[in-house]
Amino acid sequence: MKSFLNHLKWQFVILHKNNIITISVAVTAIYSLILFLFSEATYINKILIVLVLNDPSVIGYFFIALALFTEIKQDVLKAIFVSPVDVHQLLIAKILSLSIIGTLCSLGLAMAIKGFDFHILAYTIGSFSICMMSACIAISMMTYATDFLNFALQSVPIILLFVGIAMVNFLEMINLGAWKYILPIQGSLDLISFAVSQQAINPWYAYGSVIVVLPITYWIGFHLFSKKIIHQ
Amino acid sequence: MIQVNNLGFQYPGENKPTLKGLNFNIEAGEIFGFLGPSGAGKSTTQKVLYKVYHQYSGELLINGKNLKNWGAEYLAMIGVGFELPNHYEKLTGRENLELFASFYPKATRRNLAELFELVDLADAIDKPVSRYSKGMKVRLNFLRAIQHDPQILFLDEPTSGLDPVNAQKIKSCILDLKSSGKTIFITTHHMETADQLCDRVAFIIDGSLRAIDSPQNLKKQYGQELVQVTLENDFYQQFPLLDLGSNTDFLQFIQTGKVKQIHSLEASLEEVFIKITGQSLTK
Repeated sequence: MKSFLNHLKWQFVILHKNNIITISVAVTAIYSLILFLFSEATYINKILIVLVLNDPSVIGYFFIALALFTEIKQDVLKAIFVSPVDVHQLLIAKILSLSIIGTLCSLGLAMAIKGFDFHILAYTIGSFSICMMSACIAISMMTYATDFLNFALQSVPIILLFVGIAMVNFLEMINLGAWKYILPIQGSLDLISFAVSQQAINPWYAYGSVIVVLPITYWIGFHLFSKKIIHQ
Repeated sequence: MIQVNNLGFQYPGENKPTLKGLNFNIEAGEIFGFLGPSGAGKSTTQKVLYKVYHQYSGELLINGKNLKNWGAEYLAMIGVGFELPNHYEKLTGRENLELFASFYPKATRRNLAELFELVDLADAIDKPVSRYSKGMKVRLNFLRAIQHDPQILFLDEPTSGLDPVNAQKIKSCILDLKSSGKTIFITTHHMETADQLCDRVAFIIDGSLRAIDSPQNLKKQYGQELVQVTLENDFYQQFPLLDLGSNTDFLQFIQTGKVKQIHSLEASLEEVFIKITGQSLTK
């Protein structure tokens, strides 16, 4: 545990030195201000949920890839993998540090219009799991890319599949019916929706989906990272 | 300490092996040099030895135990110094070493200030690495490799990119580490470094070892044990090194004029390499 906390501490130091925390806070502050100014609008809850789907998923997805590509560019990973570091601990610390930032930012968004008048636990679990899943999927995707730009281009269809379909279904632009329950992000989306607008959800599905999908996305990410980055 | 038996390795998708049955051993406390041109298989051998590549054939024994049976404790007892700088550019030198030191919770850590002093980086310890010159980053690589007091050190071109003064400092550090019992595996193109540091060297070409011996023996075996005396009028003559002091021809020759130069005709390691492999190291 001490070793993991140590990894986590260093991940925060690296994120801070690379201005990732500052950028995340600044973007959240801009979003929060916009939300606050339009807090009386009719569809504000839906706008909030759409923003929350985007903000933590972008922080999780792109920032972890940016961090890893920076380490690859600086050749640091090569040095790390000849040390006795536990790769699980290292990756989880990276994912967790960004997820904590992403979750805090999304909490900031919600508080800008709701104050404390929302289900904080469900909201936190929902946005935290979106962030973690996004980061895990980004780890898998970055193993197929040569650099960050290449990764960003390859990510367009993945982001559309991962976030886009759930979002347009939530906005009732399409109707997936029961098929929506196979979307990896649906459980988290339900939790956020419930937290913000008290929309009825199946809590067994919502929490169960998070519990099942998170380890699967992590396992795929770890497996690909180990095979294609560590032992390339 | 390290025993390599019939080591073979082929990259996926390649049609021929990169390593073709290497056999060598490195004794504890020895500095072993691996010399060869680019693409000869030096880095691949090292990557197998520090467990980055697993799909090799043959047997690798570390302290008598198969490398495949060693876990993270093996990585804890080795130190790797890469040729090219690899640091977190936004972190300071101190932070970089502290971060990596945290990966070795059980190791006896060396004092950071003393380490930085050792390679003349004390003034830069709290500066971001992005402000270091290449030579400073190379020295920081070296410090990171030795800071956890490893038993086995793998150093790739340890003096590459360094000015002569700093190169000498690194060489002195390497010799100090040897005298404290560390086993050191150096890969280099740099013949002079190998000659000065290594107890034994191995020549590798196209994935095969062509010779393993001490630099002295190789130079003796492939060089000529002669001295060449050149007089001021540019007349010169060669004499056997053996019993030179009682060689009457030599004694008479040096009295025939003013001596301008006396050279031994011992081959350089580079010449030995070319003679054995038919290739230049710097190709």
